[in-house]
Amino acid sequence: MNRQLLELERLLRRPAEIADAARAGRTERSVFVTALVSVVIGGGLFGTALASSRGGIQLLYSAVKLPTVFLLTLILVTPAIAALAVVLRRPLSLAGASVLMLAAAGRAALVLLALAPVVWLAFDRGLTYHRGIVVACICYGIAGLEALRMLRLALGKDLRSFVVIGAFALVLLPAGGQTAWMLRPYVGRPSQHSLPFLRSRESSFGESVERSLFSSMDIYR
Amino acid sequence: MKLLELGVLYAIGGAVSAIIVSRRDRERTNLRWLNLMLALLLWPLWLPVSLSREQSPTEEQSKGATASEQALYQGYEAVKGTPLEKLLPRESVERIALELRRVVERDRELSRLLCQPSFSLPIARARIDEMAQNGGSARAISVAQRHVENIERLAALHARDQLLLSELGDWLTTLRTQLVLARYSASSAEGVGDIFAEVCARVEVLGTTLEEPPLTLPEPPNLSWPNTFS
Repeated sequence: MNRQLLELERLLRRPAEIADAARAGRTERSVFVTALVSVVIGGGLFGTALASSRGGIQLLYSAVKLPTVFLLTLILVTPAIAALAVVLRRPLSLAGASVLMLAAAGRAALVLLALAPVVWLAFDRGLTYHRGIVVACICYGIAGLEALRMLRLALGKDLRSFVVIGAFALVLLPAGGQTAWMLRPYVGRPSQHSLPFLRSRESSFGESVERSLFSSMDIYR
Repeated sequence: MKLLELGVLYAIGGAVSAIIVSRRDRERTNLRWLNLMLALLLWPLWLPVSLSREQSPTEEQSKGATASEQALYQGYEAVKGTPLEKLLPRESVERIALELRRVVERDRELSRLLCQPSFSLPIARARIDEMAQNGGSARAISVAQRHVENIERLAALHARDQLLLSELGDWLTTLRTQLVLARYSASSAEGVGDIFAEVCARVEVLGTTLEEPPLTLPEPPNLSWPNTFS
């Protein structure tokens, strides 16, 4: 336990150290486990805050689904960053990429954990469903920037690293977006009487984002 | 491919990974269940990590290190992840190792320099005698004297570094055995603090340089230049 707390401190305060270790091919299993716990707890509590507008079983559903989205996305995209790094001659092994990606996700989840009370307070003060979705997207964006910082620390700041991260973003954004979209709902529509674990398949991730943006401006299509 | 088929393939991958990991990890019974669970559920992420050899930062750094550094790293490895780690924290290990490397490097450089004829003390002293016999100016002899003093100071610094490094090596070896003993005999870590304080004191001394005596040169002769334009 003491070891995990030390690793949590590194994750919070010295991410460059973890990034350096991942780049050097040092696969620290304790970092992996600590980051995984951070994803489960941070993502889970943020999911609970999102579901607080609806309450009930949705609290449990969202607490389970948000960390699942993180982990499924990582499973899908981690080989991509390892391959891109090899192609563009950045020193990053598959094991190093796994630890790095999970550590980046862990930091992002910790940012979400920090934002969870704000989201909960906003819903408690009467934030509407569609605006709540936009607030959640902003929170994901902030958390994503923190994860991106971790990647930048590991890959460097030169043009080649920029290309690796840019190409990786082209894989991550649709993969992560589609995974999150498939596992909806996280907030729970107020008009729905029953609360399904997964919503029935309809349209696509891109169309859903567009519709949510218009709905937040009270334009319903 | 449907989601169900994908799920079945993923589960098969997980089962195979769990078998591989369990066969490799027979001896590590403490975290075996965690290892197996991760291999089963998160195998695309965990399998490369589990199959790669875990290498600690200190292990990597200790490659090509001196015996003192090796002792320091081994002492740290002995207490890493235990309550004894607070007696020898990672930051202190890194700071001491950095200072050790810096001084060892300086010592090697000084050894190389002091072997060169231009840094030879007998040659520099012979030069002063020669200048005195040949009626060299006081200023020239003073400059040569200064050269001798500089070489003497470099030799003194070299000797002091070697002595301190040797002493530090002994202290670090003792620190390592004390920590290993405290860990495996589950005895109290009494004495570790004192040894660590001795190590830190010597590292502090290593970080200093010898005091420099003030440079005193005789006044240059008053050379007057004939003014041809007056």
